[in-house]
Amino acid sequence: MRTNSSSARWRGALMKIRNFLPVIGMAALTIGCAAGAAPRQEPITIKIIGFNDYHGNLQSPGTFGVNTTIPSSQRPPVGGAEYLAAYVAQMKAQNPYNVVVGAGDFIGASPLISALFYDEPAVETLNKIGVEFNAVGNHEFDKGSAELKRLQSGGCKITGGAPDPESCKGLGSAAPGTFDGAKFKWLSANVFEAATHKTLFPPYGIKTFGNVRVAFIGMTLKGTPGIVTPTGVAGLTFTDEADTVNALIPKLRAQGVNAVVVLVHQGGFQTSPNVGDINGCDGNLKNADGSDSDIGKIVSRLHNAVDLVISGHTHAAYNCSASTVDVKNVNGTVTSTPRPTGLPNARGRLVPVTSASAFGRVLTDIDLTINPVTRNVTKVAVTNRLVDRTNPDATAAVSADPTVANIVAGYNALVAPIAGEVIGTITQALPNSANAAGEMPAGDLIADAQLKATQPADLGGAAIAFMNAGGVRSPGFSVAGASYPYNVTYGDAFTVQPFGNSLVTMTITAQQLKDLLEQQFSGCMGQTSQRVMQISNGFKYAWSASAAPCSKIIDVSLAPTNVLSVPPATTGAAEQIVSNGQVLNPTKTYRITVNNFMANGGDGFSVLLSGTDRLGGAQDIDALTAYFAGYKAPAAPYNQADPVLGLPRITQRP
Amino acid sequence: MRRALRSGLIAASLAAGAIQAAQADGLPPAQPAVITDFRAGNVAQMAERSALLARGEVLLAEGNTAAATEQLDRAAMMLHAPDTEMALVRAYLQAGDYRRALAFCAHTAGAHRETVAPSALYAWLLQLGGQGAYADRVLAEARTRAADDPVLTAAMRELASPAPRADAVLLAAPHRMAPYVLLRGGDAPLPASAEVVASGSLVGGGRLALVPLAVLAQAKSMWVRNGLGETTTATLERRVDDLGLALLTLARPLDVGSALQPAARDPFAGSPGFAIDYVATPHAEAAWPWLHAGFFGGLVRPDAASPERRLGIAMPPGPRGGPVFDGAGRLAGVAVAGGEEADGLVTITALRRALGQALDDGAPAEAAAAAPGRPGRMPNDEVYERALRVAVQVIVVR
Repeated sequence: MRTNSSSARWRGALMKIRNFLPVIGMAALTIGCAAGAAPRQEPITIKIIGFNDYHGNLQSPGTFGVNTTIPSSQRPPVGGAEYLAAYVAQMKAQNPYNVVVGAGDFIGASPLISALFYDEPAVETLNKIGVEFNAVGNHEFDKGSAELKRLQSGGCKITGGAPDPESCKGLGSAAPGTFDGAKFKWLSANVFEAATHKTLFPPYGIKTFGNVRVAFIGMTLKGTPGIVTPTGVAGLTFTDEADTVNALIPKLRAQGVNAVVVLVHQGGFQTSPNVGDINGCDGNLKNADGSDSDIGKIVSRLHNAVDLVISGHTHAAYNCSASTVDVKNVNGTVTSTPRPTGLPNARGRLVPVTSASAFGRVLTDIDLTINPVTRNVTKVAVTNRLVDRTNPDATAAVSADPTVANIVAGYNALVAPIAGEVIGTITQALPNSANAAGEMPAGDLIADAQLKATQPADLGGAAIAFMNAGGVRSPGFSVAGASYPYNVTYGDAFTVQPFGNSLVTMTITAQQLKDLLEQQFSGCMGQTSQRVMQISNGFKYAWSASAAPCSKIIDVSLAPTNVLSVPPATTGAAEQIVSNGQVLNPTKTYRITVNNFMANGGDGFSVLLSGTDRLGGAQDIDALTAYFAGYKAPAAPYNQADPVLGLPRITQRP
Repeated sequence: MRRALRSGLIAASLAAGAIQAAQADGLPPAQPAVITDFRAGNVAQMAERSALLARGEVLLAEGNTAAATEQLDRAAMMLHAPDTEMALVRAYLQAGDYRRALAFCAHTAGAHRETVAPSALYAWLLQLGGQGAYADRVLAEARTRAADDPVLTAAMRELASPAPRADAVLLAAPHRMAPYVLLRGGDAPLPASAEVVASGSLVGGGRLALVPLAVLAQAKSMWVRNGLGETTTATLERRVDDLGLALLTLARPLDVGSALQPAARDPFAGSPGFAIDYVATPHAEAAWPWLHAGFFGGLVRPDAASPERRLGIAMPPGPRGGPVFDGAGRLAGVAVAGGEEADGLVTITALRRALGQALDDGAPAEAAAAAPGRPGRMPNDEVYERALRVAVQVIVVR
């Protein structure tokens, strides 16, 4: 924060002499003490990372060049939340004193991947990117202040009195079914609720770096009501930007703030015949007729205490600071010439003003240097940087930490309309809870689906399917509050079978079959806990709870069953495979189907590693979807009370 | 002198501007525009902008997409306005970049609420890519702003029909909801009696097209046209009677790039897939294809030796013939009408058996198609980009 009375315009080395300008108040006392006794201290540098107008662009918005001399074919793909996160992380790693801020329009007018889910994906990715303060922009009000408050504080969207199905997907929140809300603070210094005369959100935020306190004032353009639907701004009033900032300065001083950064959702354009470099300030952002741009008018009335303005709204990139470059293209020869600039404030001092294009294409990398004694800002170094997706270091960082990439990929999958498509109907809830014998209603269905997918001879010729219980995810086909018959959606099915396992059909002997069943129980062949598999129609067995490990399986039988037809049908007499614990024909072989996790010995089923003649098949979710197709209207719903399903299949004996 | 203009600034698009001058379609704005862009008052610059827009539209109609985009980029730098942005959306689409077009149109619709044409265009693009439910939301919201807007009304009417067609007001720039007809050099315009009779699928690296055999009856001349509007004449290479298909040779190959990747094997029943079609029309207007997402069906008779497959993916009534992609965006077969039965799928295995090497000519190797780290399932919008190049309208004169 500047507290001196200097009216000199910024001419290159001006900042270097600021330390010696007279100061008043507390800062003057600090200077006096430090100058007389304290040892020399190093300047404090704070890394400020700014951007604006993200508009929920979780995915790359396309290609972008640093200026117009770059041919279209050579402009790299830019942006994307995961690359934004990687670039921000890289910048933050340069300096422990850092902060990530925004100049508004982080949400609204956003692509489907964010808009479909009420911009919760935008907020969640911004949380992961590490944003701490963001000004409200006009698009923050697209859905009204109540919805914006929900995005700030979290919680699911309610539509028509019920939770909206597209809300609280939670891919970037604490858990599925939740929405954390923004971990950054929206700031709205010039937006007041008419009923309370209080600002909608805090007017500013303060962050302390060592013993330096920096304030960030957030505002949208005063003209927001003219460009937002009336219902979006109902009950709100918007005040003048510069007046708002200036009125806050005494309050910030009283709190010991050393530097003031304005985040404002208003901007300008570069207007000279240069090439619009992202680090240019062509025409000093003036209008073609020489008048001040909207942002120029605001800055021209700002209090001298403001050290930096991070702007937005126009989607333009510019860097009006000591780091400005004039890039010219003269007959194909491109030249870049430094030209320290800034926009004059109320005292005529040039204040750095930045903007980072839009859609996450550019980040503004700012080093704010502060004299440790005077606590005055002595230097503001600004560089606009492309978020370049061809940067191998960034790509490596994304690979090393795919957290944000996974969120984007997850929402991209959810945005597919098939998630809500009905794939079948069930007459009753089929939970994944097991009875005493270990049999699950949901597990029976899944095992049958996997048998159906692999029963045709050319798809495996399976006679039995086994499904590991741990792979039948909660809650099974049992949706809270649902009424039955219930239409199962692909999304419901995906919840139960989320792993994307593929099916493997293999040949095992009758002895291996019994060994496999024995290996379900703790203490047998290295098994560490009880893992009762789910089994398909036509296969039945009984086990003894009191028998010793590896001696629990009593009786096993297989009734050949055609599950390709709906309803399934028994096609022959049941065959006894194990009787009173004895395998009747140990070398006889059977084709069985399991998922690839089990086939590779997962869940301790090492017996399956001995299976032969393996054939890979469909994904488990595909098999489930295909099975449900037989129970989709106009066909009769799936009814587990139907005797043709052969339940129960597993019997527990003392 | 300025060279290519930065497409960022372009698109550049203030989030807010509302420019009455942007109503280049001659329709009144839905409500009084609020001009927030100071540059609207610069008469000379606005005249230059109008000229750039007009030139850009001409270049688009000529198929010179890159040059058109450059003109439109320059216009966009002069004013934040929906007409420029909608033209840019169509330029992106004409370049085959549906994802970029969709994302940018989302912004245009959201940022230019003073007019509903961008919302109508956005809804149209969404439904093209199989996002009908969200398209309905966009239209419903737009209707609250301008219920009687003619563009919105026409778009709503067509999108609610099983066979949406862009005609009349929907074909006007800047929101034009169809590609231009792009003929190769020297090709004569199609006669007025030409009609779109079915969909087809390019194979053989874009040199050949598979089309329903039945629709070629009594055809004197044939053309195929992809989703970018690129049109070429075609002749019968041979009939594939047992599959009910015909193989056409294109007078000039259509560029399929890497969009045509025949799958190595048939899709599993229950796996996600995408069926593509065009609406049959009595006139040979160009159109963008429609994507329908769903799940592959199983064998028609599971216990039979015949490998006839149900398509499984629900489609509105139509003549079929379009490509069907598996969940990874590979060509899995073509859709065929099922008569009284459900629609069928001529699988990639059956096509390979019938066509031999011609099916795979020019296709990237399977290994290249499955890039490392790619999720197993390709999003709708990415599949749609493939559909733009692989699915063709079948046009005949009888």
